Amino acid sequence: MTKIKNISSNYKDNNPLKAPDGYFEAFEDHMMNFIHTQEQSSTQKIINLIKPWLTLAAIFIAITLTFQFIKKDENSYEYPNNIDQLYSDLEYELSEDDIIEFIIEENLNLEESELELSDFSDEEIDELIMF
Amino acid sequence: MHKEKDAEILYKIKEPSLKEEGFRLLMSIYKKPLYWHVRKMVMNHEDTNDILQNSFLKIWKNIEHFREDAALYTWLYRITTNETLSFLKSKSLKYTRMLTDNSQTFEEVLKADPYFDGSDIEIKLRKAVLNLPDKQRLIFNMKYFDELKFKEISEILNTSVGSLKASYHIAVKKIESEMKENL
Repeated sequence: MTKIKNISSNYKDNNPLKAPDGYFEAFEDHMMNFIHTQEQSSTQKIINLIKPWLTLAAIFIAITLTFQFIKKDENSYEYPNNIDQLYSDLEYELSEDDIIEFIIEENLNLEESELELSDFSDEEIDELIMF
Repeated sequence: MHKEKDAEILYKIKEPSLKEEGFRLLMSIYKKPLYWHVRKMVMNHEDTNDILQNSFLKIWKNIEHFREDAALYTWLYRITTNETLSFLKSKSLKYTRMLTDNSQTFEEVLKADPYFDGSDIEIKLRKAVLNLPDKQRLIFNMKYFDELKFKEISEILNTSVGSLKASYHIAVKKIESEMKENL
């Protein structure tokens, strides 16, 4: 009587467990709503998770760009990098005519301004070489 | 099981515009067998509903990766079974106390359940089944109630047929012994 084969004929096909009325009929609609809600909430969770980081990154980029803009404005003149560039810049700005015109206007006597070694005594020359 | 329908389901699910239609077809075919598969393990309708919802959510998210070298129902059963075993593991203390430690409590729980309509002998049979360890109960339910073949159960649970036969034999002996004591 207690053999499982004997019990089976009476109880195997008679399922005492019941599902609520209408449960299976509404299952697909209910399940699709559940899936869409879960997907929306998981997307929202990701957005909420990265939102503070995105805000920080945006602030950092804004500060960097502002700082660079201000710095560029202040340093609009670019200093020459080496002495050759300095000379080439000067040559570009002052032509030979400009220099001659300047000498004439200032009435400069180039010969007077030139110093001869003979103008110095031997002691003075030694002193200059020492330092 | 439903080879032609399975092919239609998989075809539709792989087309993004038809995915929901294909998934609804899948649910219409498999919701009942999977519901009863879970219900026999956890007994309670609300818990069954939660497990089934989570299982179908996982199926929805992963079905595009389903490899067609296995039968669709095997894959669906495997996901649902894993979800059920995880649930039972997480609730084991509460469930064990409520359903198996005290026979009076268990009988009261079943009799008070509006979704249980069985005689005293049926309650005893269910109690004897519930007294089995989770894996043995699962194997017993699939073989005895669902009438699956050992080969099919083997694919679902990823266990050898020999091991399944041994577990089933032990489960049957335990149930017969408990029924003999209580009748």
